[in-house]
Amino acid sequence: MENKSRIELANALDEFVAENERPTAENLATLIKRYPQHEKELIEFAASWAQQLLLPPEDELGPETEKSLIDRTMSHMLNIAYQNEKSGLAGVQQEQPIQSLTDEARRLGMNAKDLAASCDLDVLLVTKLNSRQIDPLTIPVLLIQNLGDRLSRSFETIASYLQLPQAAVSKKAFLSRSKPSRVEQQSFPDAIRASSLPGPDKERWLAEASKEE
Amino acid sequence: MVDGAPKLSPDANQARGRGNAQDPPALEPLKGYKRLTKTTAQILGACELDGAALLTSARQKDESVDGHLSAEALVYFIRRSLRDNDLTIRDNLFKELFERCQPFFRGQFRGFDRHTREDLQSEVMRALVEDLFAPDSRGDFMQVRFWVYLKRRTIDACREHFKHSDVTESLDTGLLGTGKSDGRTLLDRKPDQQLSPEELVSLRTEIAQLSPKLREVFMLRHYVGLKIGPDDPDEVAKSELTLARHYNRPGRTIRNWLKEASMQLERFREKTDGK
Repeated sequence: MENKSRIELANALDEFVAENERPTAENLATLIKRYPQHEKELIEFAASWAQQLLLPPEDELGPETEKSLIDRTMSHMLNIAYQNEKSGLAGVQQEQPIQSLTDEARRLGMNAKDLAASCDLDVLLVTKLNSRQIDPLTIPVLLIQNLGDRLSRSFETIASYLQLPQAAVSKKAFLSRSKPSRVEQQSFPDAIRASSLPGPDKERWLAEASKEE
Repeated sequence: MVDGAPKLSPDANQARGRGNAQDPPALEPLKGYKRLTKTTAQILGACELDGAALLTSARQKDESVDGHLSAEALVYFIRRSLRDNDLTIRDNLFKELFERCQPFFRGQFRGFDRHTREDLQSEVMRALVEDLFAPDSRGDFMQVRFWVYLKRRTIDACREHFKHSDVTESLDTGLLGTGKSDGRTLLDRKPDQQLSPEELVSLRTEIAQLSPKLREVFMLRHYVGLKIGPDDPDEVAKSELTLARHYNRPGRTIRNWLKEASMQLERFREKTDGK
């Protein structure tokens, strides 16, 4: 939770710096409206930013000190790499890829219906996501985050799974005389419209999808 | 969100099975951000390079030369080297990125002594490494706007340092009523009146000499432009964004602090002029 709040604050500060030349009462108030939980930190940051803009520039540290700082940071990097290696983590990609969303849910004691309910979806949508029948470019980030939270998986792992080629599907496979085939991928809004979700849920997801168009 | 809609990268086409043999390799999507087109093009252009050629490109500092890699693209390849456990590429790219950061740091961490500046710079570089290694999305923004990321980290390191000055310094004790102003300067006016940018620039050497906490109040009032806020303590919490609300003190107290800052600035100025 604390980590989540820290990442959220970092994102807010990145946004503040990226969108403004300098801190002003107006742009600060706008940002605080978006992130009221970080009001104190945002104001402190604005004060620090103002000082970095106004105070006279400091003398350079000099090439020797800069080199020594680079060496120290390289050493810090090697320490982290060593610690990761020792704990069996090769690098940034530490998670095993997902084989199936529903298998992941089962591992956590949920069936497809539970997973659907926890993400405000219906079972049909979960099935479509599971077999990658939905165009990944149209899937809202919020849904990927929700799935990651419910399945205790990172955003990247869920996103990578949704981008895999579609699984072959066959209705009533045991009766089928033909080979399973791939169907055309559906856009997320189309899949929502075709779902059994109640009207307000449909509207919410459609609004979420349209925000990202 | 900054720079681009929070969607999966279009470069993921191939990974989702729509690509053909000529398609570029897929790039991992970023959480909530989209890489700039220029960065994506640089990454895709360098994806197929062997290790030696990639390092040659990475060392090319001239942006106008074909094959130059921006800091954002370097971050991508550093993360790829971590994932692939390619130690030679990892070490060389990290070093290259650190070297590119040095010109940015020159003149930064204003208002701190040399020793603290060294510590702060080291802290920012360590945080950069940790974000690059993080398995979560912490490092994603670096692949979008690296220099904005570094600026934010630098300012935030200053903020953290200022914050700790609270432990040893209080605005309420030992500051007020210790000096006199001759009453004829640009600082001798009602604290409610904001100084102009030109007036602030003319005072910047003196402002640097204020104690950290007093400097913070002064900058929030005169540079950022926050209002002082109500005198009635009951109104303070209900007020909009004001100094009174931030410090949870009545406007009257804030005015006293600002007055004290002005008097100190005036004394510093008199000392400088007297030299």
